Amino acid sequence: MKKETILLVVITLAIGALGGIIYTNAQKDRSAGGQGQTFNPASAPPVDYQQQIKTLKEIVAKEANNRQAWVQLGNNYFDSGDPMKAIEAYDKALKLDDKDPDVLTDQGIMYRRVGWFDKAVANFLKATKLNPQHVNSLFNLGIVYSQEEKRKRPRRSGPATWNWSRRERARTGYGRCLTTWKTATSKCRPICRGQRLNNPQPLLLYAAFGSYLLAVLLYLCHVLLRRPWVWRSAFILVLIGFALQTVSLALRWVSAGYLPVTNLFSTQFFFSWALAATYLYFELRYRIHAAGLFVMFCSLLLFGSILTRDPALPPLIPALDTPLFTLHVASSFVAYAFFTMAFSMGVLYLLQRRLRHALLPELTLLRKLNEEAIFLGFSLFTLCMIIGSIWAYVAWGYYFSWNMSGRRWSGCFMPGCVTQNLSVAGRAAVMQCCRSSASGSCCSPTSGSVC
Amino acid sequence: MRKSLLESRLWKLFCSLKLAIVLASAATLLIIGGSLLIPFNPRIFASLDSMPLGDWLSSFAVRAPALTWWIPVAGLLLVLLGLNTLCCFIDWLCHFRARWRKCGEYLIHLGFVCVLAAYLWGSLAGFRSEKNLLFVGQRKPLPLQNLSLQLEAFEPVFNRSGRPVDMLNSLALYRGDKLLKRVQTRTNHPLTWNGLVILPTSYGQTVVNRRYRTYSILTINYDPGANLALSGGIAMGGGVLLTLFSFYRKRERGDRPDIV
Repeated sequence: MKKETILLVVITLAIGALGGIIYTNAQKDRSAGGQGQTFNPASAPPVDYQQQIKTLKEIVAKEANNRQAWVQLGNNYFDSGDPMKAIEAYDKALKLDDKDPDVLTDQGIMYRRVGWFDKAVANFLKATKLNPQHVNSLFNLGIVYSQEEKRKRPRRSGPATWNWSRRERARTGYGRCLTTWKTATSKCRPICRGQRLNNPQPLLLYAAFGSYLLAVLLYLCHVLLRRPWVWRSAFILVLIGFALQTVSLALRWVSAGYLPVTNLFSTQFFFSWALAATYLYFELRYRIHAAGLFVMFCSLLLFGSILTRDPALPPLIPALDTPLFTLHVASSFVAYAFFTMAFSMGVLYLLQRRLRHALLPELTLLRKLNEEAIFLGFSLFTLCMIIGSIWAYVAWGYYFSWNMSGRRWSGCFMPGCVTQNLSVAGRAAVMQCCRSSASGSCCSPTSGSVC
Repeated sequence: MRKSLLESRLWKLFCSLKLAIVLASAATLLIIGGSLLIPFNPRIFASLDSMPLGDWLSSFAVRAPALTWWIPVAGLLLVLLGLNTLCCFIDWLCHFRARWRKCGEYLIHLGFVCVLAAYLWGSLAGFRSEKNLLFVGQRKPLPLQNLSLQLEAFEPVFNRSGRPVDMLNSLALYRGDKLLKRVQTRTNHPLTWNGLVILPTSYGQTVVNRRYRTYSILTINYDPGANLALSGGIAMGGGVLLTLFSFYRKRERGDRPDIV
């Protein structure tokens, strides 16, 4: 019997054993549960609200002044999700005694649920007047005010004002909410939605943008003039711009205490930085010059679009307070930057095949650059997805989600595998692989590599 | 002379790159097309994340087969792709001496197979449960190997404007009376144990006998394949890093032909 056959048999047996273990464990897990996969999350035995409501209605029909019964009836309507009837029942109870902050608060919550916010506020204020330390009414008052503020706040087109005056805060609903929380928690802290950046930041941003803009213009001139000093000057400007942008990014990172990629300004800024870094990598390695113009142009556009936005750094929310977030976002944006370069090289390849222009790199080099950019982008994106899955597991309890992001990037992962083999460079890879397969080698697009 | 099994046409088909491309492309196109139905049919698809896929297929998918057929078909294509990848990996193992330099690439193969197997395992044998209400001091039995969960302490965390931003839950996992694990959970720091993951999602207060009692709302998920998936992910990550380094080495040696 040949050794390959023996190995194959052993491996098949191992797979079969593993499958059997998995199946057996699956059956064991099901039977250990007793109810199979059903898991009743409720911790208390179910309450028959309808029966209780029926009983209480009979009681209040006989004893209209039974305040306790009216309160209990209102509570049952509250718990069973019938806000209008709960409001009516609480109304009856309050007519008998209107100095109960608990009943006022519960009725206020029902008013809030049906959208009668003014009545809700009136109830909560009355409850706090009766008992200034009544936490539940203060808590719910804060919720109503914050919802009201969100509805009424107009969209601002320019930079947001961070340092609201006390008067302005008091005028808005949000300010009233804050005042309420101030009473409830006895803490007096001003709103702080972000930090004003230090003075050097705007200067660095505009200087970097200016450098990139001049560099792009010089590269465009190089297309026409084809002078060495033109592309050298452009390259030096890109280096200066990249250095300024790196310093700015580092300052923001140190100032925030985390990689600043949590809002639109920061993510676009980081992506612009990644695009410039990608361009510099290929320029230093392969001297692509104006062939990287598309990538620099994208970087410039991104940078330009954020100059009108507020650069303030928001406080980091706990959901993003993990190194997995930093690694996931950083690797994904750098991968996108490489994919942008790959796209650019692919288009140039197709153009060069037709034009055979002296200014553009040779076809061989363009193919190599395209392959390298796809490979690097795909590798980084694979790492991004693995890190993202681990993060999803600790944040949500499962590592794959059917939401749009999960499906979108999984959908991209697969065509990325396939595209890498069917791209301009990939066709070569497939041909080589076919030749190699004759000698017994093979590869899978999931590896993202060629034989 | 009798042909070796590994040199047979059938085996080469199982290991075929073209087959892999066809399966991957078909699965991807099916998933992309099918996923367009998801946002427009929330009644069917909204619960996809709240239960394992196996449960969802048997409870929701059967109600609307016209809208959901693409999921099991895509699953089948992915299983075939996984088998194709596994055969490719076995083939590489059998020719290891000649192809040891491709360790990185085939580590990725192995990782992919592990992740796929783990997902299938979890879909069939796992469970997910949301909105588990626990009062402080309360112990709740779990439908798993005589386990129970106790909430020992709870503390919400507020930001400067008074909005709750995090929840600190002191949770203890018991098997019978034996303490298995005690953890203070918060966002991004769940209690994990052998595929079980427990994380806080919300909290509230209720009045019981005129006293406020705080309760925590927990998500409790169980995925028996979680550790296998993690191993597969680590294998894939390691394979990617190895491939990254070997890519440039191979280029220097001229392993990549210049085909235009």
